[in-house]
Amino acid sequence: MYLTKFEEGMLNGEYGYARALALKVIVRVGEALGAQELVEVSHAHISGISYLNIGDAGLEFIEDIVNAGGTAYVFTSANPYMVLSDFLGCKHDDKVINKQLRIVNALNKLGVKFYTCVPYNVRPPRYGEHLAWAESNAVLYANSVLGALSNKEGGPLALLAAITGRTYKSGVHLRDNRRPEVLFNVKVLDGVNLGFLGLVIGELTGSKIPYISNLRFRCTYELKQFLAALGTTSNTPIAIIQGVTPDYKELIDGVEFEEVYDLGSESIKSYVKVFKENVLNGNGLYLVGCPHLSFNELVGFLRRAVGIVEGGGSSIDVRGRELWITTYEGFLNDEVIKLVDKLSKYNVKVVVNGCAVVSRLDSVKVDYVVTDSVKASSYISRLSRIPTLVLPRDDLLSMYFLKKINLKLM
Amino acid sequence: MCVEFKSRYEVRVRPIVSGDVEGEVIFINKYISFLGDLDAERGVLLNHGCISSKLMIFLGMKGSTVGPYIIYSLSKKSLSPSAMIVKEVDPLLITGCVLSNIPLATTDEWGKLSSIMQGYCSSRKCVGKLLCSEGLLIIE
Repeated sequence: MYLTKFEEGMLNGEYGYARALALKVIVRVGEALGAQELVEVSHAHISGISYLNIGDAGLEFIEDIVNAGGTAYVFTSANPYMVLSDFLGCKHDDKVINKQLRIVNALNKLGVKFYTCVPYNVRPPRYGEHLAWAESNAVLYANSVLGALSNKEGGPLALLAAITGRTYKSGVHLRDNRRPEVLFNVKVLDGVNLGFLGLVIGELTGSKIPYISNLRFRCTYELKQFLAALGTTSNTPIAIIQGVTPDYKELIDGVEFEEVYDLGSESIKSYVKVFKENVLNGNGLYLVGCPHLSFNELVGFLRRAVGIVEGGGSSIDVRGRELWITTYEGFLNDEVIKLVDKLSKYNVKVVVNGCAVVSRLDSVKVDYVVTDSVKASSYISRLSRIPTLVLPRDDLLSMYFLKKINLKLM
Repeated sequence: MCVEFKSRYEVRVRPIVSGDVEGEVIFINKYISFLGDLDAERGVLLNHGCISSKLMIFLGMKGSTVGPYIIYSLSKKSLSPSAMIVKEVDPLLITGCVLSNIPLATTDEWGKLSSIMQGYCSSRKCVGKLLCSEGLLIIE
């Protein structure tokens, strides 16, 4: 592999042991994947930082690399981690929480600026910027919507890229590898949750790059939900979307698609049914914020919740239920805090830097989950083995506060 | 008196993480998930026994992205294999081996290697010499 003089120096330990080791991993992985050179990245985003996922072995590694002098060489953020607060009074074990805090302390020392799965809502990359991001929804958003360039960095690779400011130049860092291979023609989808469409497209496209035509998103919220779900069933780091991906016209120019799918409401009905049939009994977690809410989404959602509470009178009933709104802590301004205060007595929590998916909800005695997120539903039902129901945000609010649900809208 | 017939086999390998080591070989004809298949406190692979200090020959790594951390943790406890030879390399396995300084190689002669392991080595303890510098794995 070709290395610049600076990179040679780093590999030879001129910038410390941790950087040398980190670069050695990146070079070896790059060589095995056929990369000719490295690429400078402007922003690394680390995933896999929940103690419940990476355990003692992961904690040990992160602490070791930081103690060996591993500090961020470029702007670095990380995914949210397990939720540390209680669910209806039930908490994770103190030992587990302490180990999670040790991971966060080590990452703070490394130089992680913030913890969220939507780094693109906090520091949006520019078109053409090279990144080393590891969170699937963020990678898809950066490539497909913003035109930035990032592979889905696996395991500790994003952390190693943070320390070196480099990753190997292969995959979608190369323009020729960003061209789509499978065509999805989307027909009219009246009132269907686009998250389910994301699941279907992800499953059909596998690791190939999809081109999605004729799909209209009413807001960025829908786009986020769609891509997050797509990332749960597919490995692709990019989806080319007509009218959304900045250079989609150039990327599809001259492509002859070997596979073509026409998708309508019918195609996703079977998915919706799976979630509908779950029976919801016991203590319920209502979850909004997978992926994390942007500032505008957060304010909008809290205002709607306050509206229901103020107009609901005696019909408000939240017994056996708690609502978590997960987001980035930097979005908590005075207005947000005032809105949250009005909701706190109704078991509503704004959970910052946390993620329900990487928590063990069964350990904190959650019996069922209602969420607007197809991604959250898909992972929680598998990882925590808890029944989940997917509802649009407004219906979720009605069901939470008033126990009213309009099933037609599903 | 019966003299046991001894053979010596050579297999070409492509080193990914360099190093020359010698040790008892263990053959696992499947993809391994280091999270789940392995008792990382003892260096014991489920249904296959101890892998510590052995030349571990297997198809490749599968599953969890925590794999590299487990390999790293094994090596800190001196419980890791002394080398890994696989049919397919993947980024996570390379990451684990570089971080732990475990020689790693792949081979285009997997068919030959697996028939040696399932034939000659199936009934006796074999010793392997991984010579990354020469691109060679010698099995005796």
